[in-house]
Amino acid sequence: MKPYRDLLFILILAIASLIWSLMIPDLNIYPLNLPPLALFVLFLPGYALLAALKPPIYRNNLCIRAVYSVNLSILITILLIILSIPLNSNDIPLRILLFSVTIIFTPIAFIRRNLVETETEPSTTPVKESDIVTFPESMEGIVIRVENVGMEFNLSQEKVDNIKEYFIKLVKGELLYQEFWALKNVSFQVKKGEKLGIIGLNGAGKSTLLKLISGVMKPTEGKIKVNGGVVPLLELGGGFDSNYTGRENIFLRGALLGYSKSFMERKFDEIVEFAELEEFIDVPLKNYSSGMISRLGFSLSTMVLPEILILDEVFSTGDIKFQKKSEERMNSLLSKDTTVLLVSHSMAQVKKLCTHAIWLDKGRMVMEGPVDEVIAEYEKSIRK
Amino acid sequence: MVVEGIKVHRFIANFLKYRYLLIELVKKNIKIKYRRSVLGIFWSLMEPLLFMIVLTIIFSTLFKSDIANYPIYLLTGRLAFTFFSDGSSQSMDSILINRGTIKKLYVPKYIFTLSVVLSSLVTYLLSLIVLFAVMIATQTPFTTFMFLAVVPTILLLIFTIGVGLILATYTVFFRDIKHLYGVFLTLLLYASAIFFPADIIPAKFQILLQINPLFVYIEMLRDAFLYATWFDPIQLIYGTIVAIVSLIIGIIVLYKNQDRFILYI
Repeated sequence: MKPYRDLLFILILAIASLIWSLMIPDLNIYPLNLPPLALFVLFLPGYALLAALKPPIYRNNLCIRAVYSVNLSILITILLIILSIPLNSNDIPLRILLFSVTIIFTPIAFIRRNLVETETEPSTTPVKESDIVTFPESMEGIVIRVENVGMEFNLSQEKVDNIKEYFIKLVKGELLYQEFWALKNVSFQVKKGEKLGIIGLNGAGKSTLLKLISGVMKPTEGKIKVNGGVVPLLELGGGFDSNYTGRENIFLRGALLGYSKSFMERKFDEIVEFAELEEFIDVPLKNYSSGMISRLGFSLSTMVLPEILILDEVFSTGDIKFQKKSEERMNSLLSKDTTVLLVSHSMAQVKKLCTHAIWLDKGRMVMEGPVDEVIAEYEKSIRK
Repeated sequence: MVVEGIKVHRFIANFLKYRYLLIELVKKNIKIKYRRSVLGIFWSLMEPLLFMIVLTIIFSTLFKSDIANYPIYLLTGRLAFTFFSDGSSQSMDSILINRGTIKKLYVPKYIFTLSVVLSSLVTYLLSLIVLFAVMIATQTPFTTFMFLAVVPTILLLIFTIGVGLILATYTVFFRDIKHLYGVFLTLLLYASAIFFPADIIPAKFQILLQINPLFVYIEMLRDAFLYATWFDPIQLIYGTIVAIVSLIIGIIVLYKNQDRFILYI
């Protein structure tokens, strides 16, 4: 079995170096004793270290790892000679250090090897520019299930955020909290590929609901189950670091979304090209115009076709040319199997993009159903 | 109340998913810190060196201190203390500074704190170069006991992460902890015997020094670099226990409170 080969190898080496150190205890002619000693004593931790730190390169190649470990031990030996640290086989702290390195890194190497093999890449479905918007006829599984969700906020009269005020209010007895349910008893299900619009007046709890689904907040009561990666498209351009260049911000945002470095490297050119920022990519973001920042934000947020897309008010960015491009991309995002949650005050937009809708009012769900019916009822209630 | 699909409960899988974020954040912290300065990263080398020169002059001429090899004595203490104080006080802001991100995306909160502590570890490791340079200059012998410095460094790292998590959590709720902590750090500086010998502290207060984990780690570092001896077993055991306990408390405090962060930031 492959995973045990490493262990066996290290075990044999450990026994060999143990026997060696017992057999020749008095080889202390410095620095003549260094090379053989270093080869034996340093090889082991070097091997473990390399196995632990560089799994992609050395993963399945015992030979390469062994060669590199020899090189490493030679390097360390040279370093020891330069620093004129006497190394002898009876040096206990050194022994302990080297053996502890071996002991610590061997399990790490194992864990990493097994994990690297099972690690999965994020879905890399490319976003196609020219896709016809089609809604899937057959609904498959349910991707979002919201059951009896309630979200309670403590609205204090003023925001107490320091100890001094906390104690003053505590002594005065002013530390009263007003209970406020932003959401109460909300339940619904979203099937794969469904486009759900969330409508309601300001303060109805629409954004809170989106935050709960994207995992930013946790509900006070009830359950939320989400199957699939959620990509929130809340605000463009927010969350960038202005001291950082465009290039650095792309990698940072990718990391925040949980993508790996290799994945971002593959996507990098595409992102830059779409945002039309080739010339400015190594300029700090503070020198960007706001249009450039939102172009970068849009390009980044839509680089992967997500399983679940969350839109808080649909946006349009940039000049006319870019608007057209971004609209095309939005359409391709909204097609296919992507599940979409959209919050908007524009009924026309909801009608255009969504198949279903829910209507929230003061944290409670008023109605749920096909988009036309819900909007008709909603508009009727507003006119009253 | 677990949002599945984000694997909140699967700690390790989550950590592996965001480990690249951790590396990126550490890089960012270090890059931003030195981007605008002419000397760049060399500041982290210059600063302890200048500090050492000034204090060595003061203490060897004015106070006539009788510490053997004072520069090394001072530097080991100073490096460890800077690591702790930088790491923990930057941790306090780590959640608040990233509020923009936390409000919009799901990211494990501890990543931000961890990244700050790890960047001060990088600075600490860099400034070890200064220590080696001064060791060569003062002809302090290099011994293999030096390698044992790994032990107090790891303990100090664990301890700082634990304290950092606790501070990061409570700073979200009480912003003025920051000012109190500044005062506390000054106190701690004196209670860690960094630039004076430990025995000038009266016997009555010696206990304060002995229970101060920072002093314990600094002494262990001195054992490795300066005295070339084994660690005091009591210090080793005490230091390990304090580090692990503080990490456990830190994790518990963070996990109990992190869901409420969003309401306060």
